[in-house]
Amino acid sequence: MPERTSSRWLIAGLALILLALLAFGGWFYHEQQQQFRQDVEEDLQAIVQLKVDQITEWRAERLADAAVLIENPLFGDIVTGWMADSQPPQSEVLLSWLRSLQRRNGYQDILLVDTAGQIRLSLREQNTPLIEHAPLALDDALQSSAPSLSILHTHPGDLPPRIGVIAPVYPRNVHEAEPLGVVILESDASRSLYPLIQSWPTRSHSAETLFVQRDGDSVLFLNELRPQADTALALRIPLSQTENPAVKAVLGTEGVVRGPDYRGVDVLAAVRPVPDSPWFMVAKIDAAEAFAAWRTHSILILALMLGGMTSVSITGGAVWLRHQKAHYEALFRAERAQQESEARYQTTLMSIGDGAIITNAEGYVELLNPVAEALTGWSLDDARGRPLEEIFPIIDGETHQPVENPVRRVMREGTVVGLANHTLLISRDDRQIPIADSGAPIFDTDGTRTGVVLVFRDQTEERAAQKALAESEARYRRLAENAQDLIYRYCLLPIPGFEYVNPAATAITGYTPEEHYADPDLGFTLVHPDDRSLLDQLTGGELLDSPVTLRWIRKDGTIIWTEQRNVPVFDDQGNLIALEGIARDVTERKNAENALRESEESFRLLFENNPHPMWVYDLETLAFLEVNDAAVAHYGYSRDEFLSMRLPDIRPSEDVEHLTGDTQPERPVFQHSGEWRHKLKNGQIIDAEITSHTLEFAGRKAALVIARDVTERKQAQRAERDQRALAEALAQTANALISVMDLDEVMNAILDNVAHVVPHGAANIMLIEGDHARPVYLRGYSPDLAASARGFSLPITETQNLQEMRVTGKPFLIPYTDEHAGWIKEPISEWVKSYVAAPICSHGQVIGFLNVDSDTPGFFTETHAQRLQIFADQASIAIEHAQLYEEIRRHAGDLERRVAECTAELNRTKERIEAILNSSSDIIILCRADGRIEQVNPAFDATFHCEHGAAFDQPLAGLIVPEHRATLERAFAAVIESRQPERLEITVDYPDHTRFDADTVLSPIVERHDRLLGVVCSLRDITERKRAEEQLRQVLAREIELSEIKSRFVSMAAHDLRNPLAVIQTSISLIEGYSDKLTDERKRSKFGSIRHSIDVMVDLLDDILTIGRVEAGRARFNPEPVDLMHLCDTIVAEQKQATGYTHPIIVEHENMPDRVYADPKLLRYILVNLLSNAIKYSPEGAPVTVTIACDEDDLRLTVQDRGIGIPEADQAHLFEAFHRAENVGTTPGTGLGLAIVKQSVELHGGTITCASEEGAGTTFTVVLPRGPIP
Amino acid sequence: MKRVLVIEDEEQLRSDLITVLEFEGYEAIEAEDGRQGVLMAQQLLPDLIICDVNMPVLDGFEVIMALHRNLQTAVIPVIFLSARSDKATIERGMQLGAAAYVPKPYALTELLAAVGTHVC
Repeated sequence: MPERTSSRWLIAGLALILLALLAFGGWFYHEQQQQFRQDVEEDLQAIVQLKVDQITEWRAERLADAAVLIENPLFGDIVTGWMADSQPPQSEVLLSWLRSLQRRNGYQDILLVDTAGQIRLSLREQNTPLIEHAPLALDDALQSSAPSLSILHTHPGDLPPRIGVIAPVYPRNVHEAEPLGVVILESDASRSLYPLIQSWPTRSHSAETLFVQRDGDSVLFLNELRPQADTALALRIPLSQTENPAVKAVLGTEGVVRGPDYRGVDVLAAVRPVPDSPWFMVAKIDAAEAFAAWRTHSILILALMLGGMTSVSITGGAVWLRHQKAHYEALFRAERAQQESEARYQTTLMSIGDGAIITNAEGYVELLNPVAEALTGWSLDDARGRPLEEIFPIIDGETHQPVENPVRRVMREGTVVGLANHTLLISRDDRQIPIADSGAPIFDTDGTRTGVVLVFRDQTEERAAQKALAESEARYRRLAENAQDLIYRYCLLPIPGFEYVNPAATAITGYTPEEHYADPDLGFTLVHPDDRSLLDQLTGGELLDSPVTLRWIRKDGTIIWTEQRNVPVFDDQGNLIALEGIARDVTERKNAENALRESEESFRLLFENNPHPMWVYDLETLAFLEVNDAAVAHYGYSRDEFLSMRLPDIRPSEDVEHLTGDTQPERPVFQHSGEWRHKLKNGQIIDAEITSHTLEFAGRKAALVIARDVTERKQAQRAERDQRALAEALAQTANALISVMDLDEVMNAILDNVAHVVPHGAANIMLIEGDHARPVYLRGYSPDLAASARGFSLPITETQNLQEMRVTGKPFLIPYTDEHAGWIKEPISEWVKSYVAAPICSHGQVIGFLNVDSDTPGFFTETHAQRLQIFADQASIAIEHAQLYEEIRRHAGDLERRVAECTAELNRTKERIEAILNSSSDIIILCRADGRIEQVNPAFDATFHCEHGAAFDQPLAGLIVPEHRATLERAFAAVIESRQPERLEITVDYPDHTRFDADTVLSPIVERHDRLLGVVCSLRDITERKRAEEQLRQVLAREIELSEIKSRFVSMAAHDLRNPLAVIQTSISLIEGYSDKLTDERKRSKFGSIRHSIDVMVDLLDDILTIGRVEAGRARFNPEPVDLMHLCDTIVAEQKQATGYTHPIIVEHENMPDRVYADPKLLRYILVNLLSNAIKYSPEGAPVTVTIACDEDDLRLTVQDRGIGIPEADQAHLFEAFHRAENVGTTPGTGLGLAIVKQSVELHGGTITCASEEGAGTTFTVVLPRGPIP
Repeated sequence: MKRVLVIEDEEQLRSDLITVLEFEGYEAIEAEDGRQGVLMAQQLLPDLIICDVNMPVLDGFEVIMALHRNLQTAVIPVIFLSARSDKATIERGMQLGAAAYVPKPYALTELLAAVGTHVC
C-alpha cells in the first residue's frame, strides 16, 4: 500500500513541475519576443532620427552657403553692375565668382533670376526653363528676404534630381532697395542628399531609408529605391494604401509601424517628419530580416523548453524505478537476515560448552547437542521423540531421591527455573555425574509455549577443586600462627583495619590479635608520627618493592624499629584493597648503626671545615686521597685535580728529593715536619708549616696533614733586608750623578750599584742606534764575551724583549729563559737562565736598555724589575745631561751655516722674479696698499707707449673705463681685507685711448706675520678671445636648436607614416585571419587598399626628400605657362576640404592674364603652405583672403589671415628651416613650410615679406618677377 | 549581439575594422568623423567605441569629452586607436577615461583582445 501512495505523489509532483515549466516557458518566450521587438524598434527609431538630423544639418549648411553669398555686399554690387551691363568684363567677374562657388561647394548649377522670374544667368550652357513650382518659391524668397530651400525636382531630360537654395540678392543697402532678383544654388540630389539618406549604419540586405513627401492624394518617393532604378520623384503610392508605412508617415504617424511597403513586402519601419520641411523619413527593414534572429532565438527557447520537459519526465521515471528496486531489495534482505539468524542459533547451540536439550511442550526430546550426547550417553538419533525422563534421569546428590523433571516445572511455572544443588545425572551407562542446570520455556511469535530448552553442566572438576582449596588454606594458616615475625593482612578498602595478624603480634606490638581487629585505627596509631608520611606512601601503593623501616609505638609506649615487607593486593579493577606482609623488630640493629654514623660525621666536619689546608695521602704511593675545602681554596687546584696528583706535585722541583727522604713509611704516628716550600697552581711558592698524623684511610696506610701558610711572615723579613740595600745603592748612584760629569764614569757607577740591590751574574747597558741596540757598558762578562759583545748589534724589531720595552716603556722580566719562546740564543745570552731589564727613557723616547742576566732559573722577580727601573731612570738622567751639552755645541754651528744659505737663496729669488717681470707679455703693475702704482714691467710701457715711470704714483683706477672703476676698487679692497687673490674682467682705457678687455688678477704681497706690502695687478688683453667665445656660443645654440627641430620633424614624419601602416597591417591581418570568409573580390579590394597605402607612404617619403632637396638647395626651377587662377581655385578647394570648411577663404584677383610663366610645382608649394598656415593658425570661422594681382613687371600674391599672429622675436627667423614660432602651441607642423616657400620664391627670383601683429593676424606678400611667356 | 561603433576618418581602415568586427560576431557601425560619431553614439548607444584621435571636426579627445557630458554615453568604454604614440598623448587619453589606447600600427589580435576585454 505505501508504495502505491508514494507513486501517486510522484506522478502528481511531476505533473506540477511540467505545468510550471510550461508556464514559465510561455512567459519567458513572450518576454523575449517583446524585448527583441523593442530592440529592433529602438534601433530603427535611432536610425531614422540620425537621418533626420543629418538632413536637417545638410539643409542648414546649404542655407548658410546662400546666406554667406547674399550677405557679401560685394556680391550685391557685382550683381547690380551686371544687371546694368551684362557684357564682359562685368559678366566675367560675376561668372568667375559664381564658378568658384560652384567648384568649391559642388553645386550642379547656379542661376540668377530676376524679380520677373526670368533666368538671367545660368552656369550651365543649356538654357532650360524654370520648373513650374519656381515662381511660387521665388515669391516666398523675395518676401522673406532670406534663403529658402526649393522642392526636390527633376528637369526634363536625363538630368538627375536636383534641389535648389533660393536666395534674394539685394544691392549694397537692403533697406533702401528692392531686391535685384534671386540666386538659385542647385545641387545634384544624387550626389549630395541621397548618400546621406541611403547610407545605413549597420550592414543589412533589406534595410532602406525612404525619403517621401505628400503630393496631393498620393505619396511621392523622393529618393532612388534600393531594388528599383529611376524611381526618384517617379514612384507614387495613393494615400488609400493606409497600411503602407510611407502613407502612414505623410498622414502624420510618428514612431514605429508595420505593414506592406511599396513592394508589398511586410516591413517594420520607423517614420518621422523632417522639421521645417514637407519631407518625411521612413527607415524600414524587412520584417523577415528584422525578426530572422528572433526566429532562431525562439526555436532555441522552444527546444530548451521541450528539452526541460523531457528531462523532467525522464527524471520522474527514473525516481519511480529506483523506488521499486529499493522495495524489493528490502524484502530480499529481511529474508536473508532471518535465514542467517537461524543458522547462527543452530551453530551456537551445537557448539556451546554446556549440554543443551530441547523438548516440545509435551516433554519429548527434539534436539541434543554434542555435549548433552556425551553426558547423557544418548545419541541424538536415539533420543529424538523419547520422553525427557528417560534421557535425563536426575536424582538428589544427598538423598538419592529422584527429582522433579525440570521440563514439567518450566511448563508449569512458565519462567526460567534452576535445579537444586547436588543434583546427579544418571547417564545411559549408569555413571552418576554431578550437574548444575537450568531450563527455559520457548515461545512462538504469538506467545504460545512451544517447548523447553534445558541447559546443564558437568560439575565434577569444580567440586574437586573446592575441596583442595580448603585443605591448602588450613596448611598456610598453621605456618602463620607459629611464625616469630608479625604476619598480617591490613585491609584498605572498603573499611581500613587489620584483617589478620598472627599470634606473634602480641610479642612485638604488645596488643593481642583481638585488639588488632577491634581497633580499626590501630594500623595508623601504631606508627610513630615522624614515619607516618612513609605509611601514607605505602597505603598509596608506593615503596612496595623493597623493605621499609618504620618506628612503631608499642602498647606500653616504648618505640621500636620494625622492618617490614609488604605485598599489595588488588581487586579486579586494579584498586589496591589490602596490604599483606611480614614485620620484624630490628630496634637493636638500628641503634648500633646510628651510633657509628654520628661519630663519622663529627670527624668529617672537623676535616672539611678546618681553616687550615688539610689532606690525606697514601704513605706508599704519595697520592692524595682526600683534601679539605681550605686546601682547594689556598692551593688553587680543584678537588678533582688534587685527587689525581701526588705529594711531590705541590713542591718546587728542587725540593722533591728532600721530600722523599721525609716520607718514609716507617715513621712515628704524630710528626712535626717543620717548614716546607709548596708550589701553588699559579706557580707561586709559599712557605708552609707541616704537621702530620698516620691513620688508616679506606683500607690504605695514609697520613693526615695539616699545613699552615707562613709565607707572609717570611716575606716581611726578606723585604726589610732588601729595602735597606736598595736605599744604600741609590744614594751612591745619586752621588755619582752629581759629582761626575763624564758619562762613561756615571754609567759604570750605575752598573756597580745595580749589583748591590739586584744580585746577578752579569749586567750591561745598551744604547739604541737607529733600529739596532748595541751593548756599550758591560759588567761581569768574561773578557772573551765582553769583547764579542761590544761588536754585537741587535735588531730591535726582531728581539722580542727589547721591542716590548721600547713600545711599552716598562721593565721586562723573563724568570725562566728556557720556557720563553722569544729568547735569542747567542753566545752572549746562551748561558742566561733568568733575565730582567728596564728601558732607559729620555723625553718620552726609549734610548737604551739596562739588562741584567743570571744563570739561575727563576732568579729574578717583579721586585727586581721595579728596582732596576729606578737605576735605568738614573741612567737616562745621566745620558740627557751628556746629550744636552753636545746639542748646544752643535746648534751654534748650524745657525751660522743657515744664515749664509738664506742670504744666497734670497738673492737668487730676486733675480728670477725680475726676469719674469721683464719678459712677461702680460702687464704687471705693483701697487701700494693705497691703490697707487709703485712699479710696472716693460710690457706696461710697450702697451701704453709711455716712458718708464710715467705712471708711477698714479691711481690704478685711472687706467680703466669709469664704469668699471667701482668694481675694481671693491676687488682691491677685498684683496687687502682677505689676503686672497681676486680675478675679474675689466675694460682698460689709458689716456692715449688704448682700449681693450683685460683679464685681471689682483694678488696681495704678504710678508711674514701677515704684513701687507702691496698688491700685484696683472692685466691680459682678452679682446680676441672674447670675440671667439661669442661666435662659438652662437654656433652652438644654433646647432642645438637645429637638432631639436630635426628630431621633432622625424617624429612628425613617423606619425604620418603610421596611418598607412595601420591600414596595411589591418588589411593583411584580415586576409590572413579571415581568408575563408572573404570573397575574391573583397580580397582584391584589400590588396588595392594595401597598394594605395604604400602609394601614400611613397608620396610622403617623396615629400620628405623634396624638403631635403630644397634644404640642400638642389631643387630645380622649371617654368612653364600656368593658369594661376585655376591653380589657386583648386588649392583653395583642396584646403577647404582638408580642413573641413572651418574657415571661409576669399579669393580676390585683379588684372590677371590667362597664363603666367612660372614653375607650377613651386607655385603650388608656395600657395599650399601659405594657405594652410593661415588656416592652421586662425581661430575657426576667421576668414582668410587670397589676393592675386598683376602689373607690368610683377606678379603679386598676398595671403592674409586674422589669426594668432607671429611674435616679433620670431619674425626674424621666420624663414629659417625648422624654426617654429613660440606661440604655435600644440598645432602640428614641421617648421619646414616657410623655408620651402622662401626657397621656392627665390628660385623664381622673387621676394617674400611678412607683416604680422600678435593676436591681430598675418599677411604674407610674395612678389615674383613677371617674365614674358616664351 | 554587442554593438561596436568605429569612429575613424581613414575610410579604408574603417571599412577593414567593420569587416573584422562583423566576422568576430559584433554588430559594427561606423562614423567618419568625431561629430558624426558622437551623434551616432547618442542615438544608437553602442556597447563600445573604437575611436581615432587625429580626426577632422572633433578629434578623439573631444569625442570622449562630449560622450562624458551625457550620462547615457558616459559609460560606454572607448578604445583609442591612434598614430600618435608619444607618451604624453597616451597619458592624456587614459586620463580622459579611455578604456585602452592602441597605437598604430597595431596587431589586429591586440585590438580584438582589447575590444573583447572592455565590451560590456
